Amino acid sequence: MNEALSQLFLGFQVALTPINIMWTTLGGVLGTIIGMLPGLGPATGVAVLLPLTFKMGPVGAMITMAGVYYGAMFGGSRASILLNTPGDGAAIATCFDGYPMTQKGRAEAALAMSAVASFIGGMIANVAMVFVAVPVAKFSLKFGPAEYTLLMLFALAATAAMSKEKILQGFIGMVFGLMISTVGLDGLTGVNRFTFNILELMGGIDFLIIIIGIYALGEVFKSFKSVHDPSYKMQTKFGKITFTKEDWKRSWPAILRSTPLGFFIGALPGAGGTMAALMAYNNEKSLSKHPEEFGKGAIEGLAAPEAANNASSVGALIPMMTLGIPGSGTTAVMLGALLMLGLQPGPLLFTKQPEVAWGMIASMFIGNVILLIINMPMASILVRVLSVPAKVLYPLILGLAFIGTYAITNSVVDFFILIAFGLIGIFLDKAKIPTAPLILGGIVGSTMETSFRQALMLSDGNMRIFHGSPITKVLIGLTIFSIAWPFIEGAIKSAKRSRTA
Amino acid sequence: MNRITRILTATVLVAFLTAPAFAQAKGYPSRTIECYAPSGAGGGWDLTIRTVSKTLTDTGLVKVAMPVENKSGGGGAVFLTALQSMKKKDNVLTVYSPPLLFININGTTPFSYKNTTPLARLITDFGAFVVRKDSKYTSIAQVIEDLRKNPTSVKFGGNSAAGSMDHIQFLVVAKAAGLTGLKNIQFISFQDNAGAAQLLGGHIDMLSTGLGDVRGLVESGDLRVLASTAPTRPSFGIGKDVPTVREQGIPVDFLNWRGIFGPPEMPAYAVKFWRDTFARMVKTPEWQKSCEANGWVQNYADQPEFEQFLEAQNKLAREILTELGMAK
Amino acid sequence: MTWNMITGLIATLIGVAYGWSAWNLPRATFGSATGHIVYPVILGALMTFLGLVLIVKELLVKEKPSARNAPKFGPLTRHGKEIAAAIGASLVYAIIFEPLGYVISTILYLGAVLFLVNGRVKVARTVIVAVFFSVGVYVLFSVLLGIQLPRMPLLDI
Repeated sequence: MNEALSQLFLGFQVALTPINIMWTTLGGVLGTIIGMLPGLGPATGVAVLLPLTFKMGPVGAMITMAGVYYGAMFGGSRASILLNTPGDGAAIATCFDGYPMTQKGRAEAALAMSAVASFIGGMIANVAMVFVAVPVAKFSLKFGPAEYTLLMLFALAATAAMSKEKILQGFIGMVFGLMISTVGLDGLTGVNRFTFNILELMGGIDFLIIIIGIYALGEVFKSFKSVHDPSYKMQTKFGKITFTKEDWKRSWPAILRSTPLGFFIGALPGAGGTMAALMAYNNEKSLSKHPEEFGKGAIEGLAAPEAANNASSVGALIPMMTLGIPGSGTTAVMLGALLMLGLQPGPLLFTKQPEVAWGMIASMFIGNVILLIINMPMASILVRVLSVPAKVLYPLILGLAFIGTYAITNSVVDFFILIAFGLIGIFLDKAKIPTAPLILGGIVGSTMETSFRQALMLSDGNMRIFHGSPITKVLIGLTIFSIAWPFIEGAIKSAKRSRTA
Repeated sequence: MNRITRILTATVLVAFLTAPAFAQAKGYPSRTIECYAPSGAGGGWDLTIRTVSKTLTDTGLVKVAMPVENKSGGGGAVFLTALQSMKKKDNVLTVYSPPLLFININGTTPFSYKNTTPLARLITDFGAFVVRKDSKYTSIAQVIEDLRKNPTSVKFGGNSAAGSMDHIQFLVVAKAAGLTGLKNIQFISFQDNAGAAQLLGGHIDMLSTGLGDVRGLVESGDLRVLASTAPTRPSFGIGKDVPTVREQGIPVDFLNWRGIFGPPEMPAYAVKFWRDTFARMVKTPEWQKSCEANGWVQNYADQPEFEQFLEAQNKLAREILTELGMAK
Repeated sequence: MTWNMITGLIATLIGVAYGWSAWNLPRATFGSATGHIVYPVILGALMTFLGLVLIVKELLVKEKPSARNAPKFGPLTRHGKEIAAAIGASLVYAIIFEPLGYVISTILYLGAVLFLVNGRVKVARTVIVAVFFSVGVYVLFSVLLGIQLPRMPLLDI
């Protein structure tokens, strides 16, 4: 404990030099901007920075790249809240309740809460990084294919509970999502599935494109009607970027619950911010006393994923820092940068180059404070995008959706996928099929299937691998609980009601 | 009206003067060189072409801009298709490695290395077979022996898809060691470079990967390299302390080469320029420093030698993939 | 015909088509021959089942189709025509995106969609917005961030 503190002190000495404070700010601001632009996420942001980092030296480079990473988590939610177009994968869950809040005229509160939740999530995760990075890394290694399978199953199980009223439609959406995730080259056999000989499909369909299609395109197409509605008014008056006491009371438990979840999911190689945010959202919905408000502008449904995705961006640094293995697409690029800077990532990084490792960790505390300060005034400017007349704004959202899609894969084939999912979005809306299960199915589907088959290969077909270890037992328990809980809760409620009646 | 016509004519003229078709051989290169990584940011291809672009601009060997663009998909096949429409262009460079051969042999793409202009082989990484520090295996021969008795007794995995790099490089060794029934050896493919974590966590017995990819964990003592697929031990990096498969009596090597390619029918003046430039680049201290930092072994080969090398490698890869039933 | 009925029919159709094409996937030549097929076939079956259950449920409930739960068929409304036109424009955009380069294709696309929504009023605004957005995004991405977008033909910028 003391040793970590003294190392952190050393880190602050590095991070608090004027030049490094400048890099922290620069990285954070650049990350926020890149996060806001649809399709550009932290991985692209870090790649864009690469040529510049060579001139910064290792400490400056790591500080700036980390800044881009968590800055993108701050920025990603802006477009989700204001335009229903997620800036990156980790901001998907923020659309669910962030945009409905905007539609209710509560964009200011949504923006403020997303910045504060991001800040708290990031700060707590930083503290965790200082003290428990190594144990967390060791624990995350215990996750083999069987554990991943069950983790994904747990994530999916909550969706069943998410759409209690429309359970059949919810399941249809979920299975459709799972189907989409099977498109592409199957790594375990080298066989292409459902790619129709289109090379671009071999890598699978990026789920961010599907979400931009369903949410942004679908939303714009639907809104064509309201554009001509003379009674339709744009927001012209803007309040302060702040939220009410009631908002805070609803959100803080969600933030505190979602942060450790996000941190840990982030630390699992291959899981990442998108899943962290979605699982946090699911959790809050199933724990909430008002699950029916979720998806209609419940502020805790916004706070939870925002805290989780920031915490996950910190957690994702753990496998990279402690083991030298990439835990996410972004850290893969950061690892490449470390190599090009002449550093050797791995378990020895902390002892061989403490000023780089601890300087970066310390800078993340400073960066979170800077970003919180910057984000509030920035939000008050951004929110004015809502005063743009719908007749201009909606076509521009279309333009942003396409450029975002192109930025993800540099391929026009994805434009057709985007358009197709815009149409599917209209259908889902008309047929009242909930979209969240579809999205979750699509995101966890491929990992779930591959892990399941990997596990069976490891156990030579023996199913015992799925309930042999303590972790698998806990995950099975959680899965069963999350399926059963809404029904138990319902039973308790009706029992209470009959007693009072 | 007259003025408008004049402006239009002028515009069209300017447009044509700067058009690619009019690029002159003299003073080449005079405009932006488009560098492409056929994969996403952060992978080996991306790192190589970015290092090349950086070295060439830093050393002043190339005076024009060399921005890098990522065109991922199909294990490099998407860009290989796109490259066909850049035929005869003089300002396009890309990077490939053994998967360039695999994607043609396994039928992913009808195009092969013959539909490119190979310019130079620059570097090589070697395959490495890695185990945990407390593993019972101390040599690759023991692994082969166990596999001979029971093909599913060793759980081995890698970060590439089945039928690609990490899988093939082990099968090349297994075949040379006289193992038959390569089809029955299970290969567990992991996504997102999760292989090393799976090995560390004890979920698999052995990881097939690149020597450079596990350097940190080998130096810290968490992982042990049973053998590398280098022909002889490289003079630096962790490779110098790692026995080669040849040293352990298996007469084979596997090179994860990386080379620079131009579009098909690249103009002769451009080919000449790049052959000269790469020959000069590999001698610069900047390039040598980057190679060392990345754990790459310099393995420069000029165009003629590179082409012969590609042909030989292609034959070898075809044999293995045919045995797996994956060749089309 | 209610929306739920349509959902059920489509789900059944997708389930059968997907399951059938999964079944017909090439077998793997090494390792487990059908490892990659089992899961998609299960998904296909599950989807078919869910679709059928929804259909049966709708038949049993026999809800009267109304504006709320059923689509109206017939000629497209103004709204419907606009959506169709916007989708058509998007498809054209996808086709001309690479040949014409980012700036030109985007000006044309945004111009078309803006015109569609705004009609003949404020044509000047339409043009200005389309040009500024296209050039602005291009400068931001290609020039400032170094993310390459398709270049204009001939001019090569």
